[in-house]
Amino acid sequence: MVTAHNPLYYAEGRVRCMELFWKRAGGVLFYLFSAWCIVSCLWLYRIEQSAADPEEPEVEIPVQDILHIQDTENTYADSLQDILSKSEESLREKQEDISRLRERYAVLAMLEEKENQAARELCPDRMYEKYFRLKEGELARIEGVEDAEQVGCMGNLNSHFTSFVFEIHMDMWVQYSDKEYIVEYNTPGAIVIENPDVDLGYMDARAGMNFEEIQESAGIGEIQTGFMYTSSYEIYYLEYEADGYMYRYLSEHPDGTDSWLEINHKY
Amino acid sequence: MSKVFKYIKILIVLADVFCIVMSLRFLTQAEQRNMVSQEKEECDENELTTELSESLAGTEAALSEFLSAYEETRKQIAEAEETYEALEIVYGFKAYVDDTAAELYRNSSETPDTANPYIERYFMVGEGELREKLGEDTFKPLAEAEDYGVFLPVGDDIWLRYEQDDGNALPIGVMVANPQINMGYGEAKVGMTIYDIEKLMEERFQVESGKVEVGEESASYLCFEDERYTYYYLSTDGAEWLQPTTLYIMRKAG
Repeated sequence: MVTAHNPLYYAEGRVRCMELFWKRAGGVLFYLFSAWCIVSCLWLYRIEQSAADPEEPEVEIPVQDILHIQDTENTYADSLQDILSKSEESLREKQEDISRLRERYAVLAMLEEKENQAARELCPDRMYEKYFRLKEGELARIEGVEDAEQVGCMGNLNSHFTSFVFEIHMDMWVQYSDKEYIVEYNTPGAIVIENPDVDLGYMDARAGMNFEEIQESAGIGEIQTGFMYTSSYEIYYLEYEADGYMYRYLSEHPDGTDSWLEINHKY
Repeated sequence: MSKVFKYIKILIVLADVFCIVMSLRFLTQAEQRNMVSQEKEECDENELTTELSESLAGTEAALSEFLSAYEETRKQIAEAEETYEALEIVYGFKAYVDDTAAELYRNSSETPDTANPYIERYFMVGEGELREKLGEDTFKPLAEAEDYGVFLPVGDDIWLRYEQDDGNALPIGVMVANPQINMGYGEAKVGMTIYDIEKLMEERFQVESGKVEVGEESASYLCFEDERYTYYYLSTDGAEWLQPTTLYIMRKAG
């Protein structure tokens, strides 16, 4: 038997104390754990409930703002289209202006041609006078010339000089005597024609014909030679006179190919 | 008593198990909800980004298209302006030659019978030939003249009168209302009043004067002649002192 005087008595007591301690502690832990489970469950339940029923509604973009954004985009697109339409309208107007001016020019060109035909019959001694009265200053103004260097030049037969020309019709020029300055009231000394469609010339001879064709149309003439400052070739030409005018058909070729016509006053 | 405590303990254990299971369930549900919510957010964000990108791309494309079209149009306008400027010069030359010719061939009263190709040219223009050159609105038509034949414009306020609508016909008269056109008999210019012309021109040059019915109105006129043409200066009756005259030129027979 273990008594108080036996050392094992105290050891056994200590063991029993320890057992009792752990038993009590286990109980406390058990209850604490249970309480924790219940409280956690309740707490999670509460969270679940609040998540299922949100207190604040979702934020929505106000309808007016959406419409405003859409309106702004539409207005932007409309403005671009408007700008493009105006630009296209300007282009159409310009093209119509060009068309009208071309028609006016065509009518005036037709009248000039008829007038030349009438003058050939009615007053051949004055038929070129309208060209010989064109003032240099006025032609320079029409062409918008601000500097004499902008004006074209052509050579003169048997001369080392060139002089100013103004193209008054396609491949048809009036030639002045000046080569440095534009003189306001100066009048042309010659009419130069390269265009075979221009119906001017001695009898039926026209610019562009060769010498054989010219002589068939206008009569036999002597083919002469000369030079021109602007050409490195010898110049061949046929001359005719009528009604106070001198007609020269010039070419760089001996047979007169690609001839051009020069009309001067015969003084 | 110990049995009661035992049952209570069992109940507590069951309650614990229940609570643990429910807690796990709540946690799982919360996790799932978070995942769904995140996915939804990502989805919305992607949708918004896509919408914005598309909208931006659409706007960029529209802007790019606009700039391209606008640039092309401006280029065409610049070319058209260049063409117009060149055409203006060429037309300017033609008009100057025309004015010079009008001045050149203008006869004086003392020498009225000198040939005038400037007037003659109008009587050489075939109707078909003129129609080919006329656009729809190049020149102003002559109003209220349908009863008097076919009037075709051949310039500003100048018309050729054809007797009938025949492609080969030549004009029978020229009507001029433009005072800028230098045509007429002697010094009598289009646009002068009848009173001024009577003062200017000696009576010996006048062939005739009088009144004529033109439609519902009455017109006063002065008539002059040269070798080839007859010139009528017309004005509204009663307005001889005020109204500018219109000139009508006819070719004489023969």
